[in-house]
Order: sequence, then C-alpha cells, then structure tokens
Amino acid sequence: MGKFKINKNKPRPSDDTIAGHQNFDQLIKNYNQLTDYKKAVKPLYKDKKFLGLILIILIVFLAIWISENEDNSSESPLKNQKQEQDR
Amino acid sequence: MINHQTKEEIARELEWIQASRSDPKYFSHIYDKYYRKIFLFIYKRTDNEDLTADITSHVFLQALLNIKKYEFKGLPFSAFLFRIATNEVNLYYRKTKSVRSINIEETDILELKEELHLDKTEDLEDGMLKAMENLNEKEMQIIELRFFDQKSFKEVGYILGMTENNAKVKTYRILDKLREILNQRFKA
Repeated sequence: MGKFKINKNKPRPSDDTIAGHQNFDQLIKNYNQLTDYKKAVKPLYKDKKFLGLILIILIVFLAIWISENEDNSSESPLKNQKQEQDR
Repeated sequence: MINHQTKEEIARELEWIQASRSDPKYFSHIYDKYYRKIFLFIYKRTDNEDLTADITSHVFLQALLNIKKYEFKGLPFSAFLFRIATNEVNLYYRKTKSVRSINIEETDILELKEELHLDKTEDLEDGMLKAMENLNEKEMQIIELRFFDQKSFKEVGYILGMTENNAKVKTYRILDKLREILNQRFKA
C-alpha cells in the first residue's frame, strides 16, 4: 500500500453540510472549560497573590532580623559594663 | 492587496483579533469567515466528514487559545489557521498511522501540469499522480499548499515553518524530482 491515497474529482461536502457542523457556542463552551481549568491549576509561581504573600513574609522576616541585630549591638556595651562591675 | 485581501479587510481582521483577546465572543467574525475554508482544507487531507469536523473545531479552539501569541506578519489570519490545521492533520496521521488521503480536483492539478510541462493526455496525468506517491510527507505538503491550495511561497513558508526562500527552493527541487520520475517512467 502506498503512502498516500490520491482521490481525483471526488465530490466534496456541500455548503449546507459544512454549515451544519459550524457551532460557535460549542467552541466558546470548550474554550471556557479549558481556560477555567487552566486558571484553576495555575502554578503557584505564576500566581501574583501567592508571590505577593511570599514577598510580605520575606520583608517581615528581614525587618525582625534587622531589629534583632540592632538590639544585640546596642545591648553589648551594657553587657560589657555589667561584667566589669561584677569583677 | 495582500494575498487576495484588501488592506481594509486585513485591518478589520486585526481589529477582530484584538477584540477577541479581551473577549472571545468577537472571535465569531473570524470563525464565520474562515470555517468553510478550513473545513475544506482539512477535508482534502482526510476524506472523512466527521473527522474533518472534529479537527476543524480543534483548529479554531487552538487558534482562540493562542490568539494572544499571534503576530501579524503581512499575511491574513487564515495563514495562522492553516498552520494550525496542517499541524493537527499531521498529528492525527502520526497517532493513527493510517494512509493519508489527498482529494484533488481537475482544476487543482492544472498548474502543476503546466509546471511539469505535461500535455493533457490521461496517461501523463495518471503518471504524474503515480509519481507523486514517491514524495515524502513534507514534499507532498509543499506541493499541496502551493499547487492545490494556490498558496503564495510566503504562505507556504509560514504554514510549514520555513522561510519564503526555502519554500521556493524546495518547491523547485520537488518539481525536478517529479520530472525525473516521469522521464524514467516514460523512457522505460
């Protein structure tokens, strides 16, 4: 058997037959189903809300870390004085 | 005129495309304009009405899903649809491994016969159709698009993912190949 089946002058479907298959509402329905599914299973790294939340958490942790470091550095001279007094 | 469409028609099409990006209901203009063309394009390659209807609806769905990625390259939107349709038909035949159908009409092969310098005798025409069976899938697609669908080289290139020049060079190589096969056949 050949790679191709060549048909010559075979009648093609009529315009009415073709129009019978045309269904734009179904296309929109399929489109909505697919896009809703895609939205539903959107990966977290593409989710702006999720990325925003991660950013806020990072900022909060950074602020806590900076403030703790500042506390330690301001506390250290007092600690040294106390240690000297104890001696 | 750009590929049988006026500049106004192309501009109107671009407006529909732009509108479809924000609201898919505007895609109906494109759908109504090209449904028949795409259906017949696929039917020529499948010879099966229900299968054609399935693939056609899939083509429009893919086009709508990817409309944001569409870039105007001086060709009507139909070229984008024909490109998707060609890929979908290829995908179907790769999956099913069935023999590919090619429906051609007398008028379709006139230009190819002229290019091959064939006269109108039935023997030569049958010989040409037999010679075409020696082409591979890619070669056959180029011949179909260029001669049976009357696409420009620019469109052939866009649909098959190659440059216009490459499409031209390949077409003339395929014609040489067909001429050689025909010469051998008639010498024997």
